[in-house]
Amino acid sequence: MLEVTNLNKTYNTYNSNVHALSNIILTVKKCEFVVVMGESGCGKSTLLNIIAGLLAPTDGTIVYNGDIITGRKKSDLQEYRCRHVGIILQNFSLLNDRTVRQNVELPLRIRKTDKKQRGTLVEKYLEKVGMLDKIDVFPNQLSGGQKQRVAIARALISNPDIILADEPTGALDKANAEQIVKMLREIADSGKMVIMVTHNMDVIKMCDRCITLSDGKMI
Amino acid sequence: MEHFAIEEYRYNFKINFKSIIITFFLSITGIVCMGLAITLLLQTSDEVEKYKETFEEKQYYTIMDNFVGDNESELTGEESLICLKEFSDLVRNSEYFDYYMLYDQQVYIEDYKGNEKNIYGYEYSADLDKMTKKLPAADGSNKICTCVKGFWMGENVINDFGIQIQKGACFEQKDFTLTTESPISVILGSNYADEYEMGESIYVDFIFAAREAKVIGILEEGANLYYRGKFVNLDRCVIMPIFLNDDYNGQALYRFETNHFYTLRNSGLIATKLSMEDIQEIITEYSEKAGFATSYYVTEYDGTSKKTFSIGIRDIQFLLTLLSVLITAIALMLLTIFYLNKIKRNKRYYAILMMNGSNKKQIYGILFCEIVLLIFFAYVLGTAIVISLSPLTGTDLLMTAGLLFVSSLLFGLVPLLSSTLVFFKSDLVQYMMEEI
Repeated sequence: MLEVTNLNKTYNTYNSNVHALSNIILTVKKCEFVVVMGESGCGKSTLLNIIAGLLAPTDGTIVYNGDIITGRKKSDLQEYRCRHVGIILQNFSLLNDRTVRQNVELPLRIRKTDKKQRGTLVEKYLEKVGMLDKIDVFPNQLSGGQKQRVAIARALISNPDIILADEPTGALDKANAEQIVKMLREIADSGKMVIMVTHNMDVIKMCDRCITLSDGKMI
Repeated sequence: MEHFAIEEYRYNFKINFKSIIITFFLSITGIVCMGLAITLLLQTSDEVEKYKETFEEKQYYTIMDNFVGDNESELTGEESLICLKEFSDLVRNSEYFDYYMLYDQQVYIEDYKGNEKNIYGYEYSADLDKMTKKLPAADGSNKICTCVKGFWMGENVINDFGIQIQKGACFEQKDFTLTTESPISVILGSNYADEYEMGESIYVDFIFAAREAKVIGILEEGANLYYRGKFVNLDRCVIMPIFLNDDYNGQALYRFETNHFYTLRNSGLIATKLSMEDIQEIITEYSEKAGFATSYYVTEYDGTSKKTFSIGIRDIQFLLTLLSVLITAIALMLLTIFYLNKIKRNKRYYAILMMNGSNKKQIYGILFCEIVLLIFFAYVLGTAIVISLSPLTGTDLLMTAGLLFVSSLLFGLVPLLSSTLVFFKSDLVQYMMEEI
């Protein structure tokens, strides 16, 4: 379980303080698909960054499975991300000079997984996302939807408990967007926590819960 | 299982092949130039000082005679021997300059078995067949003799000019006396080393007579002599001693022989700090004292080349060192800038690696691997190049490899340390957030 308690994030600028997040309280359990909505600049991505351990909050805590994440060293946070977090982004974040296979197996190579096992897992997850036939193709030869599926496969292959998706359908057409959201639903159903940031209203019907932020506050 | 950093290096090698090749050649250039700079700086200062003292702090002039046309009788007349001897004694014992008996003249060798490159005129693409002729042999017959390059030297030339002998010995005092009782001592250039043995007897023809000679030494390859304004390579030469006696065991030399030997003795090299005008005055004075109506005169060493290249070896060494250091510095600077920029250029790549579970140490391993492998292969290829050129440069192989190793370490340290510093100061998490 992921527990966010009284989370605040304030940016100190030259002539004022910007309250990016104010008193955010959120609990996400396994198999939950939570959507965070709001207008641009409302603090959605800031929340995601803090949950991912990329940004430190000004105040508040994040507890994952009983362990406090906030206030930890950078190396501990990197370890937390490595073990428990998978990230899916709007721009797919694929390495364009590597094939689909090489992109998807990247997390496994980082974790020094055996080559044979890597091959098996890559094929398994690509099949799951329906991209096995494109295994040796380069990202620039794929459509937006296909790229995002590859990104999802890569995010899942290291078997994280938490999937953080920041506007994963932002660059996709409606049909592809629906497919991606459906996939995230299935991922949540398989036992993971999925937190998705979006301002696409069509997604709500697929999620378990929807949190709306406005000016950094939950409404 | 392959190390992650090395695996990533392999992937990146294919992708960044062009830039890796450029940095590779930058590294080779820098390493070789740095090795060259270190070599030049480490060069034995004694040798350079000696060279400087010998060749740069003194002026060199050649004594020339004027015994031509109507003046020839001064050389061949009845009283000429006395005058020639007097002049010879004066220049050899002069308090105003050091005098070196030195004369460039070919000799004939019977039954020549050496390389055709040693034959006189080879360098001018002369008709080598014309360089052989039948000459009176020691046994009274006429034998085929081949004209080869020769250098006649006085007592102190080899030592003072730093000419190195690889085998055998240098001339001794006794070698400068021509006698019928013992063979002439000759020293051969290194080109003769394969065909002629130490102690071997050969017959050398000069002044219409075949004389038995014995090989007493072989010069080091690349031995050279600063003669008349330029370096003359002695590899192809037969080095003859300039004889000091006027007789054979009490029997007077033939007039022609005597005059010939005095030509060799009196047309040598003056080393002095005095000006040419001063030396000319002194030589004129000596000529008059010796009883010559016409005088010997001095010429400056190839004035043209001196004006064109008025720099000495120290200057050349300095320029080469400076050039090497400059090239090394530029190569090093470019390489360092390349790797510092690489960290910025690779922001997205590092962010994606971090996103997928990599830590900073792992990512640094990729950078480290690239730089170390680059320097290593540049060292290997740089050493191979320099070693392949070593027959030209005469460098010691082990020393070359060692020097280049040191220069590789130094050369590689700068980009490695600077990029390490910048890398660990960079906030890769920030890169991740920018990606997000």
